[in-house]
Amino acid sequence: MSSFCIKHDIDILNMDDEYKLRGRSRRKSQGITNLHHFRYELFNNIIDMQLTELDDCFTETSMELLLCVACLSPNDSFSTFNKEKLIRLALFYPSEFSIVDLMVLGDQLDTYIIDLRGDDEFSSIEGIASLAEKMVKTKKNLIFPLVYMLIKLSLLLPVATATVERVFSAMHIVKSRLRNRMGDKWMNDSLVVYIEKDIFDKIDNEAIMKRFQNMKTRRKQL
Amino acid sequence: MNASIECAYFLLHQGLPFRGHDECECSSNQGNYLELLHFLSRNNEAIKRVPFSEAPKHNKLTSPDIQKDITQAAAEEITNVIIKDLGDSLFSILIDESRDISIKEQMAVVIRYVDNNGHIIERFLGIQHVSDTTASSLKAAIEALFSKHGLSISRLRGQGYDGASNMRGEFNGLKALILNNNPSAYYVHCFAHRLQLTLVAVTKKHNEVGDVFNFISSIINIVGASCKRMEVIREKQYARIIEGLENGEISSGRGLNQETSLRRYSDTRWGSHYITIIRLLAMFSSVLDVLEIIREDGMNSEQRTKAVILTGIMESFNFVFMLHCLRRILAVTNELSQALQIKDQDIENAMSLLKTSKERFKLMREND
Repeated sequence: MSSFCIKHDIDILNMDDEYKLRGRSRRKSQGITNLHHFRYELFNNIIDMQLTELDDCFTETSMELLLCVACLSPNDSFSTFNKEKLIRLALFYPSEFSIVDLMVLGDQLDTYIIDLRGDDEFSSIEGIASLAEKMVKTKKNLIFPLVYMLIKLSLLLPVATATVERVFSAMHIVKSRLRNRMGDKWMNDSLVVYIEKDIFDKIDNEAIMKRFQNMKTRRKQL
Repeated sequence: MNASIECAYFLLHQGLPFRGHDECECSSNQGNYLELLHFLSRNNEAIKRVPFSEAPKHNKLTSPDIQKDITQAAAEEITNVIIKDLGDSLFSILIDESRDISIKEQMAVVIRYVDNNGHIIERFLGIQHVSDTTASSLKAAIEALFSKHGLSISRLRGQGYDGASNMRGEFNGLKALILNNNPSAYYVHCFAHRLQLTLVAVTKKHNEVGDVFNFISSIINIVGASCKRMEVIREKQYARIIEGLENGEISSGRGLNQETSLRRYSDTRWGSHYITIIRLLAMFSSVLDVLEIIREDGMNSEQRTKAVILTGIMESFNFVFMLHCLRRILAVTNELSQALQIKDQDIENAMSLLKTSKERFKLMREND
């Protein structure tokens, strides 16, 4: 910071001087030093404000559903594990967990936590996404189907609509200023193909040809 | 036929237009699709054997309708693969709307599901034209899309939108309408949007921060007002980089030292505040030079005065201090925002990231 000032010939204020407020007479000055002003009144103020705004905007972090999701976390060998909360999480999804299932889930959770805590492979996992992958790989999702269902449901909760915003930036590439008269259907088809290229690469021409043929009667069979 | 599909494949892959302005035989440019087909037939023996001129006039498979049909077939195949991959499992939807270049409101639908390997997948389902953005018409559009692809709202387990009131409204928003049908489809407000909201709130509420951003905005206005001034700024910056390279102060490498320009910030663009500040810091002295030029030979006295005032502000300790302080704070939020935008981010991780960012703020507060 101070090197930046020197580089551009900007006077650095002496941090111990008295802070002068512009446009206010000297007599009214509050007798505070520059250091105090910049450090406490500006810097900390902004940080505080940012923190309160973060707290205000992300009130959901204290929402019950999400608190329960946090108990699934495998970090530090499942330190946040909490059986009551996980059962409460299951209660949020009545169509997946019947009353019988809930009782089974309780037992399953007990075995699950003992089994996974004892397993070396699971001790270093971070995040529930990799936990789910690992469970499938070791076929533990078949042993603990209800627990896996809980993990799956919590993975389903969306985080950011970034993918949708990406769709719109793709839309601006496909439907550009010069192509502004595209029909809706034509644009939809082009976009699906453009965005999901990786699937398109895997489909062979035969399948497309067959579908093309079946769409309506063609003059000539291919 | 294979050739036609190959052509369509290439064009779709690159997002290029198919048709040209004039497609008759004598036109010099018959449009990408036809030109590509001709190119392929010139360079491929198998296709060469069946030249276009010999094909019966009604069966060339080159008409616009055929092109559209091929694309539709490809799109349907892809959606088919996605739906098959989704199978009977549960999923959640992400929805947003935006308007396109011909000022039509378009709604994009992305589904998020966990596949058999335990991976989170987010796939684009389709884009739908909606006549207005009321919650009920959006819901009708979603229902139409779902029934087209054979999906059912009852299997929905989550919904994610931005914070617009037609989406998240408590009683008549899209969220509420879907919750009526399916009480398990929990709504999550997009994290990245919320993060941006916090930034905007700080820039609006805090007087000094607001001042800084307003100053930056007028600096960008006056410096970037004409091509001539932008040219000056580019030259200055270029000279400075060359000088730095020769002195060994700056390292070279691919993508480094590219031509940069000042960037305007915008309330709706994620991370734009951070880029604005970084760019201004990088081009600080070039901007000062341009301001000086304007002061000396500006068009009118009004501009000259503005330049003088802005130079004074830019050289003040206060402004520089604020720039650096904001840079450090925004760096943290920017990292968070980038992390949130990863395709297979999960909510538990997002929450812990948020917590780490908060801790970092607290640390910054205590340490310096």
